Amino acid sequence: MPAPRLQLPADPPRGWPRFDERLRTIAVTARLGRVLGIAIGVCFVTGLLSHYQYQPWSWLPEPAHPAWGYRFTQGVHVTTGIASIPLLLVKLWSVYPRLFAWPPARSLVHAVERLSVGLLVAVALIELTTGFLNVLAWYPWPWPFVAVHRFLAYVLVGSVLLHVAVKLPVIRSALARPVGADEPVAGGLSRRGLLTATGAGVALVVTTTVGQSVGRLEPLALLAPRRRDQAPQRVPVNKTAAQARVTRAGADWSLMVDGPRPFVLPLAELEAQAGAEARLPIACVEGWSVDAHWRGMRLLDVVHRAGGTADSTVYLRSLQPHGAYAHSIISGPQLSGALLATHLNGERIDLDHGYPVRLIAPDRAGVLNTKWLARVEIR
Amino acid sequence: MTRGRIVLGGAGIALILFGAFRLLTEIAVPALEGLAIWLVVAVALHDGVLSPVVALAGRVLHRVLPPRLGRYVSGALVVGVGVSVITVPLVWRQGTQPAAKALLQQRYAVHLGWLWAAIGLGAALLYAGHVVRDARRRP
Repeated sequence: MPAPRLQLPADPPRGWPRFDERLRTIAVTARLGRVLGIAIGVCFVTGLLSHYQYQPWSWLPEPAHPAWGYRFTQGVHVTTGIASIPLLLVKLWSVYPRLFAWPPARSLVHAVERLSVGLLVAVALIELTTGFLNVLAWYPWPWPFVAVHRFLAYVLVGSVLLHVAVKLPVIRSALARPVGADEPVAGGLSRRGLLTATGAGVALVVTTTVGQSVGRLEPLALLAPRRRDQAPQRVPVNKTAAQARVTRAGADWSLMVDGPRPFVLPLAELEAQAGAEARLPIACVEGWSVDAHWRGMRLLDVVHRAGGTADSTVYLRSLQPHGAYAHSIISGPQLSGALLATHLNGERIDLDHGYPVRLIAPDRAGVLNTKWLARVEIR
Repeated sequence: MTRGRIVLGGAGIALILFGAFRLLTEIAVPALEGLAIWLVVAVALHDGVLSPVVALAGRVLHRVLPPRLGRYVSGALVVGVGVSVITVPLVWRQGTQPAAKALLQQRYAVHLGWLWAAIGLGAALLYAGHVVRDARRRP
């Protein structure tokens, strides 16, 4: 049965927008789309890895090696997300005249296909914008960020796959075709010049922001939301003690350890036994990360003393009265590598970093390294 | 349609439906209404405001500037606008967070000015090189 045809006038109405399309060829669009598609794919996979940090399956605990694993994947997630913003804008610019294609739809199937492109554009704009604003701790919308960011990511990647499937023959032929000679077209810019300028813009955005994840590039991080050189003990803070409503613990503070053989670890004893050292990054879901020197007591020693083993599941509870990260769960390889840190970069740990003691473990998302510890429960 | 395209498109539709299902079953209705409004407004702002402004700017540049100069001005604008788009929210949010967070403590507007200056300088040098090359080619 032939697809139903839509009956529309052969010519567009008077005043219908027309564009100079010499610069916006499919060869240009396909090349922009290829890079953007790869960036969105990388962003999606690294985002799923980050989600797994927060909700791992009990039979598959997070690895502890490499210690910089989460630092790398989340740095890549945020950097590719930021880089995708200018890339998406140029890609959309290159196909803008198609919005005014005449007739708007040749058939019902074509109309559905165009609506799916509308969905792709809307979700891409919202996913990238809100992801970036989340890094800036800015939530001017009425929905819970984390869940919606994740569910929209499925819709976004699904829309990209559908778009690629529909356009595959066009994409193939466009990529096989040269971009065009280096002759200037609209505005004097050549097609090759447009791609070069877009690449330069993306490179500049990456260079000026990635320093929040890659320490050596920090001097270039002119647009990075976070900079460790402005932070206490050269490590940024995700939530301050004041924001968490935690006041400085007094000398009478003790760590409660609950397990088969429960005990109380007074502050003086904890500090006296803080002999284990480790160089571990702290890596935030918002993309920034810093390598730091930590000193403290091995969590596993505490677990053993309370009658637990390396196979135990350990709950850590904070002095923080409320909030999703007032407690965390650690098990498996991360438990074996974890410290109850009392010192950071050679100094007694700052209140904003979790005084009197905090958790730090390898390859673990920043907020899961619970600060201002009050209680350790072995199960 | 090849089998590969069907598999790709099917996987895409499955992911869209999965994401939509999770949204509709796990997010409260008022939040979903807000999301729907944001999705529509995002497209309206992009297609109805940003894109026409950019298209108009392109036409003006094309008319006003000679092609050789226009080439480098357009290129510099593509680079600079890309950088500026991510800087605007940084400037807007600058100084809103406690100092200990080391978040949004930079002078982003000043830094953007430096970057525009560097982009302008780079474009000017490339343009000068082009002018010199053309002058040498002339008999």
